[in-house]
Amino acid sequence: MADRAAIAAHLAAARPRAIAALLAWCRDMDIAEDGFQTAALRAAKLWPEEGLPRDPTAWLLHVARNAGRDALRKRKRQAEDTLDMDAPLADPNQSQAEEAIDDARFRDDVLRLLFLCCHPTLKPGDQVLLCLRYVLGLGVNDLARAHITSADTVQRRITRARARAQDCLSAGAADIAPDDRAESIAQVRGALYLMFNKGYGASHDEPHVQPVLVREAIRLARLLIALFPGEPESLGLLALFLGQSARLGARLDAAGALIKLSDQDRSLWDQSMIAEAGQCLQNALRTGQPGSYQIQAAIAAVHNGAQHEEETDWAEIHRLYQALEVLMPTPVVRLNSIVAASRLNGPHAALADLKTLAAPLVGYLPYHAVRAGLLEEAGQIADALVAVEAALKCYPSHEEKTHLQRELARLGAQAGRG
Amino acid sequence: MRLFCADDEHKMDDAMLYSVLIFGAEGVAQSLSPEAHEALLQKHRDLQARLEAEGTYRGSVQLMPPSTATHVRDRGQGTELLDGPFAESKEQFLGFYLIECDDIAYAQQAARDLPQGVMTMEVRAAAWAGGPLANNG
Repeated sequence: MADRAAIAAHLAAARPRAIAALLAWCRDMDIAEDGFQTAALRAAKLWPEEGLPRDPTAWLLHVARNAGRDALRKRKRQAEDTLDMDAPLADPNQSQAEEAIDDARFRDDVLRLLFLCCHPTLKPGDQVLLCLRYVLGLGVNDLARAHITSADTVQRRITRARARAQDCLSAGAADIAPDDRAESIAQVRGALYLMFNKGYGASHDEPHVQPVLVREAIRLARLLIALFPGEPESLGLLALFLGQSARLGARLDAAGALIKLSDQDRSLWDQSMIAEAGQCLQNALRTGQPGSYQIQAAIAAVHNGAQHEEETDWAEIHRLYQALEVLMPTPVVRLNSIVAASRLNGPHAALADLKTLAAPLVGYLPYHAVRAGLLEEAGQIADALVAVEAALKCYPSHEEKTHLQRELARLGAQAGRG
Repeated sequence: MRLFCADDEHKMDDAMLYSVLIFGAEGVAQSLSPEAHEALLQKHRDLQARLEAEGTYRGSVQLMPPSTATHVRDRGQGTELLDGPFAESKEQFLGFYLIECDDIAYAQQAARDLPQGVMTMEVRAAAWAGGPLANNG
């Protein structure tokens, strides 16, 4: 007998593959989802009594396809009644959906589904929402909580994104030629990176960590690797996710304030995640095709490899950031590179380097936080206070705000003494 | 083939080495809620404690997810390394227990005590063992 938790896990794991195969068959997002929903409800009723089927995904697909076929017939009848026949429908009699599950084409079905939900015509934030809702089946209420907004707002955004995705699907804009596969996979990685970062470092008074988003980004990265294992950047992405989320248990103190990497209790880091990240990264680097996710994962790995802050290999981190700057010449990467250099050469040169970033990063909290740290190190306490105040104006998350206010009090006391 | 020293007072003469192989569909274990995952781990810990107490526990291994796998293939021009498990198979090999006991029923009971529903278990006797497993050290 299978318990409810196990059944829920099977349904969650089967969903992306099942929806992908259904979508390949009917090319209709509503019918695919409704079909899966019907099958999932039937599974929740039957599986506790009858036990799990031998192949849960195939079972779900079979039931969903029958439900979808009924829906298609009904729609076709209505269409005939109103003489509105311009919507082309796939032939519901073809058995493609059943075969697809063992077919190499099946991998491409899942990729097409992911690409559809991460389509470049959708806003990046909406790509994340659509992946979470449509591919993974997260509830609107959970998403509203994770995005600190109302369920109505989330529902509206999803409905709009979904309509646009359906247009792409109908127009064949989500079809992927074999030559474009690598590019589509890269597009999906970009959306997962955004999902993870949204979960890992929130802003605007949101709780700093959204474990749901972190977890689901990791789950989809695993799926992407299971389907297309030869992609070093996908392995790099998963290594980065695991290497960073290994520190989640050490990022907040008892009062809920954010703890800087340098001050974290490293015994709280999840060693099994760090080890798995290391395996993924080793395999990725073996291919000799470096990329920005691999380099970021390597940086996380250097931090994770230091048992104490003082043991951190800043020279290696600085080299990695320099390599990353070549691939991603963004102000944020430059900022991190300057931080690494300051650990080697002291605060004065770093403060001079920071000047070039003042304009592009004026609204970026970590810029001001970094500057405050360097100014304090250089003995310029009054300027450090001003920098912390600037950071507080950058819409900190609740946990960041607590941390910054504490910094303000600490520096204020120092200034008073000085 | 005999694998164990006869003078081990805890074991019967005809003790055998059994493996309980654990398989699961890709992604299912990672889709468990944190509470369900903790309950799953507890069942493993309970079994390990029982086997330990009964002197039959020879070790267990949980493998990292298949995303960390590489496989070695010979295409006639020397071996090459490829990322990922052999194929996108439905069942993934997740780990195993090694149990030293008199009969297969004992090992089968151990497999029954493991969490059901998320994984499937296969019980098989070892035909040969080398290294530290070969002698009951």
